Amino acid sequence: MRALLIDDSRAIRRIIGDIMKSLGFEITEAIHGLDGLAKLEEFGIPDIVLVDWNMPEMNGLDFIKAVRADPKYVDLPLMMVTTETEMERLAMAFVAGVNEYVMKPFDKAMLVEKLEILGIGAAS
Amino acid sequence: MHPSQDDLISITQNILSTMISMEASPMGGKADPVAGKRLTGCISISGEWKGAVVIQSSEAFTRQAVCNMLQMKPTEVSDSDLEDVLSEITNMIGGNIKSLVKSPSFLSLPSVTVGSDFSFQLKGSRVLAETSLDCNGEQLDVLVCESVT
Repeated sequence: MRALLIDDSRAIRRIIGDIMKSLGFEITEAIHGLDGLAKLEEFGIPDIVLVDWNMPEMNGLDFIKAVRADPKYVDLPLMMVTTETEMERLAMAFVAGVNEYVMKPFDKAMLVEKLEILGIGAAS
Repeated sequence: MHPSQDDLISITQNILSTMISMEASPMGGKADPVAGKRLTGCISISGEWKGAVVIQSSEAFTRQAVCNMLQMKPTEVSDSDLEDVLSEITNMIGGNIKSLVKSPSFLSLPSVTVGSDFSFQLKGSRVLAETSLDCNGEQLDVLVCESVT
């Protein structure tokens, strides 16, 4: 299993990466949405993408829209991990095509719960 | 709804304990500003509500936060590690504060200033709520400013 982590914070990539590695995932990292699109092309389709919202160059919402506009990524599970907590923002993300949503701050149990909902990972 | 001092305390305590394994308690009374080398994180909120969230911490606090978050030794921590972690703390606190103000509002990207001899002012704003927290003997200041222009 492989996960693509997209966040401009190295600390957050490290935290999520450690959790995902403990669940048996190999990790590919990207530092913003454009980098995420490039990593998708370079490394192929992962089992899940975890993406932040607020990032330079290309934010997470625009990344989600770009991914969903490409037919080859229509079934790719996308999870947002972000500080955006308002219902309106969640609705925007789901309309754009995100499958699940984790609000910061989070811990391993919260992330695992969301993976279980998607039927992904060690929990599936 | 406007964020209160209690909101700042509970949001910051939750983020520190959940993400950084650090406990924080409010310092009694009005604390003096963080002295010596310090880091200041700032994130703006625009839209229906306009203002900013400012985080000020000692270097020692941020170094400990980096060690806890990234499982590093203090001697391994670089300046970019300090800036990255305070930036993310600012982002998380700012995002949670944003959920308490009028919607729709939008977060900027956070900025971080590092130094020991600088002052920080947000022109055209007033302090809405502020608190100083004690984290293992190190100080962390959090304040929310509302634009008045």
